[in-house]
Amino acid sequence: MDEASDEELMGRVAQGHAVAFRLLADRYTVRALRLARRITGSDADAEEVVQEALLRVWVNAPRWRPVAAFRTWFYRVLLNLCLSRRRRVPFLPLEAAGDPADSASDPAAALERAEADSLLAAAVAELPDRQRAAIALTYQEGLGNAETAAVLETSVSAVETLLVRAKRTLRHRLGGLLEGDGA
Amino acid sequence: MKMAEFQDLLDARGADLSAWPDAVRIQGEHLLAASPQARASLAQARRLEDLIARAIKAEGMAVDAPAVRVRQALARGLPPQRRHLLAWPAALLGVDLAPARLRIAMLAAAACLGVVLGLFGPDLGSSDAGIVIASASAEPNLAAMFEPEPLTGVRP
Repeated sequence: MDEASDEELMGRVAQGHAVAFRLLADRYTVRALRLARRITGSDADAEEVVQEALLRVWVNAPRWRPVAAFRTWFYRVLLNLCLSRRRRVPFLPLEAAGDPADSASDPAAALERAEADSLLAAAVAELPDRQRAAIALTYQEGLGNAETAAVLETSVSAVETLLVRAKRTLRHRLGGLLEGDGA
Repeated sequence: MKMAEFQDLLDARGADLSAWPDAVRIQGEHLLAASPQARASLAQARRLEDLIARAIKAEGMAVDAPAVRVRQALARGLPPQRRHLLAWPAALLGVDLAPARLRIAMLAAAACLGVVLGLFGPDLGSSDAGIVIASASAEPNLAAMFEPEPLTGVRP
């Protein structure tokens, strides 16, 4: 069953197979948490939202029709839950995640990278909800513009507008950080 | 292609020009060949995408504990699923009747026999008509038991 596609697993979930559901949940929990945290800006909110989204998958599975990819449908459910939380909690600083393993032996370079990451995280957190969602879906989940549009329930051109505005803001916020010759 | 359009395409479709539609990709490549400013914009767009990717990768390391908690919560129990109302015929068809098949067949046959006998069976001659006539004639005339109102002539 491990090799089954998301849609095949959903077919079994629709018949009430809890094992298939747990397999599907395992596939998406980590990705969903990262995405939810990016959008809600809160670990606790992200955890609640992901749990709620997965429960909705289970509860509504018998009504699901494979007209779109499961991933698109699931992210739409997740994103709607995230966006419905109006609380704008300050974005979790990356330092809270602990220090990632860094192969650079130069402490100054490592510090510079950490500062750049913090600046970026703060800048992304300041973006309007839908712009932040577009950035997260594109660069975190690797979705193309068409699938991002399906998740956000909008047109491809609207997604492109969101990305243009978001990156314009990020460039403005990050300023000289982007003028370097690469990290 | 002008610089502003090139910059919008970089933002909207990403810094990987190979993912652009052919028509705009070719125009973009011509602009890149001719304009140092376009090359600087491309380098800046790539740096921004690298920064985003790196920040996301770093952030991804911190979700193990919440993921475990979510899985534990799901393992504690799942609510009932919502099903379409029209799903009940399929559910009935899915019931395995094999163990009771003979008894169900006999019950259905007995019901059919009863209907056939009721419709076409012998009339054993009931005395319903006589009973109706007898009861009708035995009914007392209640109106005659009351005197009419003196003024209106209506019987109570």
